[in-house]
Amino acid sequence: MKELFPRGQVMGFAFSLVLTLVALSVIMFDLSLKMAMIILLVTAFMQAALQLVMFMHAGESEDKASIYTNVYYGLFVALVTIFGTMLTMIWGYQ
Amino acid sequence: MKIDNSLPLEYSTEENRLKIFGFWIFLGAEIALFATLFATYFVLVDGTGNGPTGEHLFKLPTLMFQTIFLLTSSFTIGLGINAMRLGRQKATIGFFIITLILGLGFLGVEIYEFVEYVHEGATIQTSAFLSSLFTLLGTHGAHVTLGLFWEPSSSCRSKSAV
Repeated sequence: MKELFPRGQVMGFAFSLVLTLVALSVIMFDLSLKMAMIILLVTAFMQAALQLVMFMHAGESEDKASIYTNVYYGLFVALVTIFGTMLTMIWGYQ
Repeated sequence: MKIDNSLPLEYSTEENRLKIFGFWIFLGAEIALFATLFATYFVLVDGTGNGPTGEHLFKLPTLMFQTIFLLTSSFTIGLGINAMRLGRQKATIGFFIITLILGLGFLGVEIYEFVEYVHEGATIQTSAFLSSLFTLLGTHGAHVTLGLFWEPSSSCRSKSAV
């Protein structure tokens, strides 16, 4: 029975729940918008990394380097898309 | 087919390794896809017009149920893969079934949530904010639905291959 619940994965699951609770604290306490965004961004990125590495087994096989390159490239495109959109549509520039 | 028994089952043949790599490329594209949907949402989030705002609409219990269903489902599918590597077929299938039920639970709560929104007069046509919200959530829901069909079909195929 014990071999069916590896310690690492159980701890990872507990940690993913803790991250959710921390993110939840943003609405429980009256935080400034800046503080709230920082907490949400940090917990979101930790959550995503935890899911990919712990539960989706990124980096276990020989093509580890290609997999990470591909994920980082996807992230790069994502960040450029989001911040580029914010810059052109909301923030603007002087 | 060359089978390398020193590796976990799912990497044991060249074909399987390539399929898993292909799935990672798909996930990279998913990251980019959801970035565009989030960017749209961030731009339109204040465009509520005469419709309700997010503060009006979002209910904590439904959000928490959805989060917990999804987090638990990734835990149980991880346990399923672990059991598969140990060669425990029954436990593997058990964990996969629990995962599917959790996925169904998520979809159930999301459909309930959408019906609630529409009853409160918040449809995809009500405001720019709601158009972007429904597109974002709906695309995610479509992914969960697809996964619900994909997982059993790939499990059955690998079973018939054994």
